[in-house]
Amino acid sequence: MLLDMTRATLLNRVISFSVIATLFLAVVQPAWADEEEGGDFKDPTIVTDDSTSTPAGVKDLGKPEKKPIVDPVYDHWWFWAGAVVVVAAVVTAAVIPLQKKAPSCTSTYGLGCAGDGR
Amino acid sequence: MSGCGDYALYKVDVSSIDSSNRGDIDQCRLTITDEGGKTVLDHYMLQAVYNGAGDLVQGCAGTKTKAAIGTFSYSSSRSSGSLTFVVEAYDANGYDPTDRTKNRLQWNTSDSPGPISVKTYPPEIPVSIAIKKQ
Repeated sequence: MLLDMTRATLLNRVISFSVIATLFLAVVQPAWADEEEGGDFKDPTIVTDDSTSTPAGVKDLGKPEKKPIVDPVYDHWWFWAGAVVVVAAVVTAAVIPLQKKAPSCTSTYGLGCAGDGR
Repeated sequence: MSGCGDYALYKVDVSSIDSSNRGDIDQCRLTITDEGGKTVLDHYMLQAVYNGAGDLVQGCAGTKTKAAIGTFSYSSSRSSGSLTFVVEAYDANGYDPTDRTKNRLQWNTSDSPGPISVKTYPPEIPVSIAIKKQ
């Protein structure tokens, strides 16, 4: 009975940890996934045989340039230190049971001891 | 203060107040049910303990069975509800799961009126059960 309860508690915590980890990664991933675009950029000053009146690759100067990320949060040591602490705390909470235990059985109880509180 | 991870601890004192067939008692069993009638401990065999000289200290063991049978400890992870304790004493043929009254010599529920409420430890909750022929 106690074993079943402990397994259920552990399963709940593992699921909770998985949800937290998924949300965490979903937030962090775009930081490094957001790379500079422009692989298809073509120099508008070069005229080739297939050039048209509107050369391909001409930049729209009216469109504001995308500002690069300055001093991103993930470049700071404290960000990763905090992340490690949070993950360690979640894992510890999942592994260490919070259930208090009754005192162990002693010779006073000659008829025996039972129950799911120990 | 009640909270997550608390438990209740019951100290169950068992005695026999009927000497007419006490000497025939070969085994004693404890059954505990909750407030919904669900069995949380089903005919748990109470053990017999002897001292170094071979004398029975606690338990049910035929002619050696004493009026003061002994003490049992039950712990529960519950923090609410109530429990009902029943002790049944059987002869040498023992407990028959198909008929709990068969071979039963003495039995009784706890002395307290009705089920005993679950309370967080401490303190230990005292339960007294005096079995007899009925």
